[in-house]
Order: sequence, then C-alpha cells, then structure tokens
Amino acid sequence: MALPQKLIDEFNVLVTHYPERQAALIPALHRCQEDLGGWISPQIMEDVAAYFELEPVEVFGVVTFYPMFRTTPRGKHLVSVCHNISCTLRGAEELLAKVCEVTGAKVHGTSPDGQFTVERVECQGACANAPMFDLDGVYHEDLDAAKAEQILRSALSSKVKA
Amino acid sequence: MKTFPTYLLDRTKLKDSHTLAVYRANGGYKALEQVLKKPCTPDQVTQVVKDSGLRGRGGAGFPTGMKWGFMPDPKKDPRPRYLAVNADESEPGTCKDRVLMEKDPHGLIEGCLIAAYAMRLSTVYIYVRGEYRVSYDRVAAAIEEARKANLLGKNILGTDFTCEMWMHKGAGAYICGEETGLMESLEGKRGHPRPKPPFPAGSGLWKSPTTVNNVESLFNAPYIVERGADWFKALGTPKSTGNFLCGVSGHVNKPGVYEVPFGLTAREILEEFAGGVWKGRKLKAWFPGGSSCGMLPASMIDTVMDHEGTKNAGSMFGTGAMIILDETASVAQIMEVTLRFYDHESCGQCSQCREGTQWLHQIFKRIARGAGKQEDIELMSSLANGMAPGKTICALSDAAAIPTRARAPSAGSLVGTTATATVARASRPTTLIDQAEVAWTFGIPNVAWPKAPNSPKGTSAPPITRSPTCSRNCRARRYSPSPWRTPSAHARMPPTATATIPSTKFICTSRPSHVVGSMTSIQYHTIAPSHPVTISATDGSAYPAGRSSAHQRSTASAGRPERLKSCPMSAMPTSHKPPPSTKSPSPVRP
Repeated sequence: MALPQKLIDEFNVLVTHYPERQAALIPALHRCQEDLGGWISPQIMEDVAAYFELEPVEVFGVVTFYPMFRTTPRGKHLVSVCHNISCTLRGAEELLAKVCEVTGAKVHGTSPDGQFTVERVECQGACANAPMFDLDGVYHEDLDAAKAEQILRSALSSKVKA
Repeated sequence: MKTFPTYLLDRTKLKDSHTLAVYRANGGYKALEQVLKKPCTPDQVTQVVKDSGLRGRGGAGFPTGMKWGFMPDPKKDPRPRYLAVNADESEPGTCKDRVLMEKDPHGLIEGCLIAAYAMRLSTVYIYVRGEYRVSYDRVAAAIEEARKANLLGKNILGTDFTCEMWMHKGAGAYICGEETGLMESLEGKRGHPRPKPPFPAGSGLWKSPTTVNNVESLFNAPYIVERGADWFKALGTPKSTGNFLCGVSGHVNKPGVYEVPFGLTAREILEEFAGGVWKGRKLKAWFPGGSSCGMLPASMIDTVMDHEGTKNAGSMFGTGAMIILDETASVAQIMEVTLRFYDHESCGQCSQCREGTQWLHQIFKRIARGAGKQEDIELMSSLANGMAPGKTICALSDAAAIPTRARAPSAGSLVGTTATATVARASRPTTLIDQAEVAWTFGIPNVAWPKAPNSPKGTSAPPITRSPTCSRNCRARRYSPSPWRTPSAHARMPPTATATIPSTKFICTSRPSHVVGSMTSIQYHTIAPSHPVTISATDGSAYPAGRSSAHQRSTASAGRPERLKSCPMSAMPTSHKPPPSTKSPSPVRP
C-alpha cells in the first residue's frame, strides 16, 4: 500500500522548507496520523521510510520517541487528560475518574463501543486554566465534573467526524 | 498596587489581535521599518539588544544580545545560518508563549525578522509544540499574511533584506525544548540533546551556525529597537531588565498570565495579581519558575522575583511560572507528580538520568502513599549526587535532582505549617507524610519515620523492586520486537539471550526512551545473558556480523543520494572550530 497522492504532494512541498529531506519527517508523520486513521501502523512507517529514503526502523525510532505519535489504533475520539502539577493541584485525578466513568474507557484504553480512547498526558501548557483535557485536538479548560461530562456527551452525539 | 508601564500584553487585549490589520494599526512592524529604512547595521541592532540587558525568557536567563553576537561573521564563514525559535513550551506551570502566539503572532514574526537581520541570516524555523494547535494555526496564518504584505520573503519592504520563515510542529517531547534536542528534532530525528561544545552558534542545525531563542525573548526585540535600550533598562531591576510574563497557577483565586516587571516580590504577584491563595487558605509552598526550580516554603514568599532574588533564595527564576500550593496540598504527592514527569520525559541517553529519574519517581511514589523509609533520604541524596550538577549531556537530570536537593534556609516555618496541615486525602496517614515532607524538603537527616502502616506486619515498607524481566528496570516489563525482523534472524535467536550474542540491539515499546532502533545510532545496550526477554535483531540478514549494507549506503558519503550531494552542507568542513566566545550556559529548562 502506498501513501495517498494527496499526502505525497504535501510532503513534496514540506521537504522544500529544509536543506535535508529527513527534516520533514515529523511534520509528515503528523499528517499521516491525522489522515490515516489516527495512528501510525508499521505499513505507514514503511511507506514513509521509503519516501524519505530511510530505513523503516529509523522511522520506528522516531515514532516511538514522541508521545504524540500512536503506534496502536485508537477510538473515534481521543481524550488526553493533563495530570501535571497545576492540573493535579486543581483536581486532575478527579477529572480523569469522571472522564473514565462517562466514556466507559480505562486510562490508556478504549471504551468498549470504540468511541473514546482516554489517556493521561504530561503538561499541555494550559496551567493557568487547569484542569483541562484535549479532546480531538481542541483544548477544554477550567473544567469540573459537570462541564467535562457535558463536553464528552456532546462529542458523542455530534455527527461530525472527529 | 505599584504602577508600571506595560507592553507585552497590551495588544493581546484587542479584538482580532492576531490579524495583520490590528497589529499594524497599533504600531506593528514600525521597529522593522525603522531597522530596514533608517538604515541600521546588523551590529547596531545587536548592540542595542546587548545594551538593553535583555535576558532569555526560556529558563536559563542568558543575555540575548550576547547570544546573537556569538554568530560567526558571514564573510569568514559562508555556511548557511539559521534561527530556530523555541516555541516548544512544555515546562510544567508555563503557559506564557502560548498567549503571545495565539493573541499576537505578528509580534513574534517581527521579533524574528529583527533577530534575523541582526544575525545576517535568512532562514527562520519556528518549532511549535505539537499540542499547541491554535498557536500553530495562528502563527502560520500570520506568516501567510506577512508574506502577502511583503514583510517576509524576498526584498522585504523594498530593501535587499530577504528572510524566509517556516513552521515546524513538534510531537510532544519535553526534551525538545532543550536547544540541542530541538535541533535534533528539527532535523527529523529523535530529540536527543547533543553534547556541548560545539555550541549551536558554531555547529547547530545541519552543522551550521544556529541561534535558538525563546518566543518571549524575541517578542521583546521590536520594543527595544523602537524605544531604545534605556527605556527597557528603566523597567525591572539592574541585572534583570524589562517586564516578563508571569504565569500563576495552582491554588490561587485568579490563575493566569500576568505582565509584571522584574523586581516585584512573589507576594505582590500572588496577592495583587492572582488574587491570593484560594478558598481563604494559607500558603504552604510554591515553585518560583516551573517544576525545574526548587520549591520554596511559604516563609519565602517575599522573595524578589528576578534571577538574582530567586537564586539567593536557593531556587531559580526559570520561566517565571509560579505554582502555588495551599495548606491542604501534599508536597509528597506533588513531588511524585514532578518526578513522574521527569521519568516520563527523560530521553534515555545518559544512564544516571534515565535510571535516576525512575528511582526518584518510585521513592516519591512510596513516600506519597505513606510507606517512606528512613533510608530513603540517604538514597535520594546519593541518587541526586549522581545525577547533578552538570553530569549529563543536558540539564534535565539536574532539573529532576534539584527538587530533592532543595535546602531552604528557614526550614522552621514550614515545619510549623506542615505540622498543622490537614492532608487532602483523609485516608492517607497524615503524620507520616508530613514528616517525610519535612525531611526531604529541608534535608533534616534524622527524622524518625514511623513504620509504614500498610506494610506487612508493620515492620518495613515495601521495597522498590526491580522488574523481574527487564535489566533496565523498565516499569511496564514489556519488550516487543521491532516489526522489521526477518524470519531468519528471528530463527537464529534463542528464546532467551545468551552470551553467544555479544551485543544485541533491541526495542522496548513500553518506554519511548528505551527504544534503540536506529541503525545509524551508536547507542545500543547489551543485555545480560540471563535476561529472559525475547530479543530480536533490528537488523536483518547482516546481523550480528556488522552494519547492514543499507546502513552503509545511508551513511557513506560516497553513496549519498544525488539530491543530498547537492546540499551545501555536504561541502562543509567537518572540523569547524567554534568561535572562542561561544560560552553559552547550559539551559535551565531542558
């Protein structure tokens, strides 16, 4: 399976920004993860490696180094709950428990209906608006249990593709 | 409340402040015009920034003008030159650059252009952390606007100054906020910091002269150029000039990012800006500048918030991000969270950091659940001595060790506070934790710790166990092979590693920092013969005789792809000597 032509075209533009081709690897992996199912499969790694003239294992090394790249499939929605200092001080653990309760997913797991994957993450840079979570790339800040539940339920009912 | 002039956040309060129209209507790009049309020489611009005393806002507080001055003279050194903007803001407690990028992206672009002019370079990379999607989009849109208005690209504003700017998205690794880690990441590799020297000004991105500046540092540049060094020096204290963005978070009434001059006390910032400690409670402890700076007790809240004041207090200024803990907070729990963070973020290059952060995390975890042992203080101290100072490639190890080495001069008052504190979770054995807190925070060696109530027969606390399956004490105890093993290589592997395999590359997916998959990397680990983990060679047929032919192809210069041969970098001398003046400090914030 080769990468879609649309992505190849984007990569062709990306690599012109740098003197060496490999520099565009991380932005390219982001694009792959966004467009090709929310995670980076071994097949994608091989295809990307072929594009960048690298060994697949070098791409594997990069993918596994960065926490934002997922090497396992995820649910339709991804909830990343910050549990660093400022968020912990303002109730991140309680928020996480609530998120797990509402979604039915375990921490770092996916809910049985495949809708939500919940993970705990390190500082997201929203310390002044703690506690927070990132739902499908959108920050939701100054949360409490009720607010969190409402946001998650509306994500569930929305027809928009995550 | 003291009154003082503000500038950093003035525009962010306007509607549509992220657009070019609003930026220009409020004095935007005036400084750039002033520089390009007056005209000033690049050295004059650098000199003004030097005179202003502007210190980097990314954590280390290194003078920005001096850093710019380290770039070699382009007449003597024809290599391409780069400016990398460090927008990988991930120090816990810090959320200031995000405000600037989201609300005032053109301010950053103008700062970059002035820096590029001063350092005579024409390529700028803005490395934004991957989670900051709004910041990324806003800055990217601003770059497009600027390009259309001839503020970026060729012959900017009709002069012969040319500068290109590209966005680059990170992927969630804290270590990429360290300048050399950032450069590795920008080159498309794992964010492993590089040993220094060579310093970035001598050999940075693609072995070319590079300067890495924080967003807020660059954001100050247009104001300094436009209003002069004397105006800037009038703000703040003699050695820490200007205003800075102070993020206040944690147990306060009004958490937020506030613009304040250097020289206010932490109490003034806490009470006059952030509305004091929340719920009418008392202060217990506070971080002056993000998690990498040692925690200070409530008694030291009158510390002056500048580089000197915080240093004298036994901590650091860092990014100026105050985290406030009220009297109900458990210091032990917060230390556990802090060390969990460093444990997670250690890149795994240096053994003392990779192992030390894990050990410290486990010790704090034990203390936080009420099972601390008296030996723990000694153990932490010995671990911290092995990790810091300056014993590793970057400063992450130092940052992780600092909290455990914190020694507040006036311990007495916190002892009083802790003794009367009510710990948030009633189920936790209060006295034990409080004693533990006092002991480790203030280095009181002979606290008699009670026996842990939850340990078997109350005799001793549960030991820190090493994983039975991983020689590297990997928590998840789960090794998985790289997907790229060939059946033949796998077949040659015995189910457990034996001494017949002299050195084996392996992949551990449980912990990114353990992943040792790159064929180009010289870093690999040997596994003890008794290691009962299934090991797979990452390299196929050539294993273990040596490097694969594919690897040789990718590294040997003769075999480089045609496209790379034309790259100017390949023509560069390999032994470039950095200029003698490149004494840049090790960054505080990795």
